[in-house]
Amino acid sequence: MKKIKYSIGLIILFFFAGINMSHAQKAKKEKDNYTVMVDGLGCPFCAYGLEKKFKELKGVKGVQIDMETGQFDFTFPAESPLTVEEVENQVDAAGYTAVSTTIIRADGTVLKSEEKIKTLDESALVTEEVYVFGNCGMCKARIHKAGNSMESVASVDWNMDTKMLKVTYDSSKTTIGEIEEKMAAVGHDTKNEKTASDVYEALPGCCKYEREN
Amino acid sequence: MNRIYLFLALACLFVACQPAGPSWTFDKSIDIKGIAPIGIVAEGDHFWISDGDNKRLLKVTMDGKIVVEEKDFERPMHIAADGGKVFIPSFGDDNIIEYKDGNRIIVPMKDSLDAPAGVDVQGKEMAIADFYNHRILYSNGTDWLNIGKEGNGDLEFYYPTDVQMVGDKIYVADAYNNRIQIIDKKGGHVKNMGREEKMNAATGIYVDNEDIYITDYEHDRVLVYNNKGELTAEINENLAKPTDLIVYQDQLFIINYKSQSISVFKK
Repeated sequence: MKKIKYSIGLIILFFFAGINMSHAQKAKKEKDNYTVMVDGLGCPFCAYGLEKKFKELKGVKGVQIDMETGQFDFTFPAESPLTVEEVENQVDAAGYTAVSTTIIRADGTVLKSEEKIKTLDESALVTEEVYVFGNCGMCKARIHKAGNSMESVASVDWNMDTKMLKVTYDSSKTTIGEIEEKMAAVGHDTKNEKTASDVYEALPGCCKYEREN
Repeated sequence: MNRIYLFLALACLFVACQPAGPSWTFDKSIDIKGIAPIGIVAEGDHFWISDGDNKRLLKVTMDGKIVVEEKDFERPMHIAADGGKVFIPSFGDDNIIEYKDGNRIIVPMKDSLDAPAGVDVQGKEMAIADFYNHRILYSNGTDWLNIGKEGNGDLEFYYPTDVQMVGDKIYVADAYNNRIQIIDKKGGHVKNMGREEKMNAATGIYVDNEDIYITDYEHDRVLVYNNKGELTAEINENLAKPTDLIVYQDQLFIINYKSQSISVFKK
């Protein structure tokens, strides 16, 4: 009788242990899905480089990069979730520009990068053009992101060939000088504002335009 | 009469200023849809092509038909062929793979690579473009020499992507310094060329006896230089994001990443 009770006990123990293990294994296997729209993935070397830098985060799997659209997808274990900010910082660290990020957690929760709502005085909108130094698609992405991050800027469009930045801004809140300062702060000289040497040196190789003395 | 002399003088000057190198004429485009080509070599009557996006090494006929497909390479880049073997720089997992008849061997290295982007092998000798370490590695079969560091001066590199050994020299596609840099096998600097043409990503290099060819990825062109570093030709017809090239059987083959094609030129 004791043997029977002992056996039943063991069976119950294994049953619950089995349930717990399957829960643990499931948790381990669950993955969050990440989609980042990246600007500046001009060449395959850039794209594979971004992938390589992300794979330094142990657990990154299922990487897919569409160079035409700049869409970068990957999965990461749900047990150690990355934030939108961490993902975008990793993109920045690899030398690229994250335009937007969407995370779909394993439990279905969706997180997105913040979209700022700008309040602009339309009667004060002014459009000007200013020369901004740069080379490539990655430069364009950086210049556009910097311009669009300014609350008083309505739109920006940098021409890679002419180097002219067409910018529409609320003149009651900012000036073209401040916009030039912003460009210089992210690594792009203008005729009136110069980038700090360390910021210029940190630009990816393809973005290192020839500087004027 | 003076006007005629002036016209003739200007015409002579114009002709003299034109690049005087090999004159390549576009012949045809070979469709390789489905392949995102990064590197190309030729052997016998076929090509070996690395397909970076799809992580494949492919044996392709001269008319673009895949006859061998080897999968699961980690972003194969600028490949080399020697002695019936293909050598594949595996950008994603930092190895050089030796491939022959379906078998793969990781080439033992004394130093760790960070994203090898190009390799050349001739007998026992090997040269490697070590992309993220901004350097060139050279082995004479016994010892390894570590050449260069990050920068834009002589013996400095900025994301080198391809190499080729010729005689006692190593020619480097110094990609994001937008130039060709020539070094010797003892680690000395020989020459830089190509800065004046303002390339944007000098990605693939090929050298024959007289000419040095380089792909200018963003500008959809191939530039040709002589050994003095003088530009002798610019090829920009029917190219779309070229990544590598070879001269084989008196034809110039240029692979196009964007259009997924091989542009063929004849002299």
